[in-house]
Amino acid sequence: MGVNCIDAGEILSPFLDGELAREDERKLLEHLEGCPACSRELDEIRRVAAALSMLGQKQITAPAGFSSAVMARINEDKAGSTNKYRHLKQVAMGAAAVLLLAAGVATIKPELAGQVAQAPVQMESSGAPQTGAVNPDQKSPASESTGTPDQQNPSSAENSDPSSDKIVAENPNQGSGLYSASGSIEFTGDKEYIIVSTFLKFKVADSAEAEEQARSLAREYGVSMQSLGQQTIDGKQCLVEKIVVSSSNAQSLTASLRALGTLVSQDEQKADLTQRYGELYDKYITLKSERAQTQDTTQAAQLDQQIKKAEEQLRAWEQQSSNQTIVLWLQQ
Amino acid sequence: MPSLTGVLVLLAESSDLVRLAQKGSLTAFEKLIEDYQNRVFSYCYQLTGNHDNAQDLAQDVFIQAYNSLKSFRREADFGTWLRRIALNKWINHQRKNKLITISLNEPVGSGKEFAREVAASEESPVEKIEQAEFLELVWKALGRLSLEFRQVLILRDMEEYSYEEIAGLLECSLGTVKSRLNRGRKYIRAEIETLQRELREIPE
Repeated sequence: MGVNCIDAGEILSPFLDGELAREDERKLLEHLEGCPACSRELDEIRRVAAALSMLGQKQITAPAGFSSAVMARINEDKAGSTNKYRHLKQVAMGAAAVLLLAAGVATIKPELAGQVAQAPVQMESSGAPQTGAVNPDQKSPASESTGTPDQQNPSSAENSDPSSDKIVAENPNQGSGLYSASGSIEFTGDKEYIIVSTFLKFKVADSAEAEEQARSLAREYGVSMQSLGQQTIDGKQCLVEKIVVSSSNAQSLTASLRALGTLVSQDEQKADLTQRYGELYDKYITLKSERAQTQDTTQAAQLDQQIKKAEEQLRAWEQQSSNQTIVLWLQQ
Repeated sequence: MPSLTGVLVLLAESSDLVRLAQKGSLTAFEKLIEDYQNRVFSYCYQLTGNHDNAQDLAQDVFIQAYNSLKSFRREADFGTWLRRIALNKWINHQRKNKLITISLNEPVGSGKEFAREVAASEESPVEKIEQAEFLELVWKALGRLSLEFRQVLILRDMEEYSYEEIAGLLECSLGTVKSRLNRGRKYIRAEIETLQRELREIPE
């Protein structure tokens, strides 16, 4: 039995690559002889493949100063490594605590909803490390002050902190590992990483109706609302919802949400992770260079694990700090 | 007066350079970079599709090469080894970032000059221009494909890896490679047609 045009269309590509079984190849050739449309199709595919192959052979010249830029990075790594290793252990402890914090904000479980308002604060303070300086350049309005005990600490230790000079990739010629237009972990030292969560508690006439109303408001901002569950507080049904919205839209969405019912309480939590982000980033870079140097497979596997964790964490922080989490309690 | 290593480096072949670099000579390593930078950069450009990203990747390739120099076996070809590092870095990078940035229309460079230069030289001037324009279209269309299809097309048609090698590199099945290539080739042709249509709509 021969092949029809549809079958042929499916095997033109492997045929072109010489990856077709002999029998299929014979059938296809038979079909092509009597089918100008499929032959044309094959020619077109071949033409594109040939073009790609030509593009693949092109040599282009590396930009001027390329080798010195690489050498500068190598020398920088060498010079920096002693300090960074010393600093590593301290940072690791702080980082572990922060992992908890971020996890807490990101995945608020329904059964924890009752304590949710306090959770970030507790974690934040338990995580306050001995290295614990505040970022002196902090520009955020430290006014609402509900969170971050760090902010009240004076930061005299800052100047002696070896991590404070961790500005990486400031010079555009000194690549930052950004291979695609998509994001990669880079840290310029001038960005703030502040996670903001707003907790709004409403008394509403009908919680289901209010939920629907909130959902459609969220939709207007192009974000979805996630139901965290329901709780019974003082015998009254209470729905708990989470909305994650970009920081720039957060304020206006919060204002719109006021229409849901009577606002019983409002609370805002801020966790400034800028310092820790920098520290973890430092650790991440150190781990990567350690990984590149190790010959030991067991150690390599461990390092890979650590690198992966650090990277996931850094990404999570990036994500979280560009968004604001709004948690709604809709109590009947 | 240059140091003894300096003189050696000036005279050295790449295998000697590797040996010197493995013993810790930065001068030798710098010379290696200079010898291989165009090859590595070209390769990175093909993989990443634009100048800036190629530069970042190429730098990282040499940094990693420097850090893992000891694991390089000298009977192997240094250029091939560098290519391998570049490819692995590129694939790993994409794997890691896949969940975070799913971009269907990641811009790549315009490819104009690139395509012009590539066009074969033995053809007539008119054919050369047509060929260059076609290459430019193909390059642009490639940049419009989503990652999974762009990746297999680059690996297969530009870098000429076999289906089996691609499956190994991307850690997927042979069937997946086959089906992605098949679809990728359809999609790139569709993109080329779209681009051609768009070009016709713009008055000269």
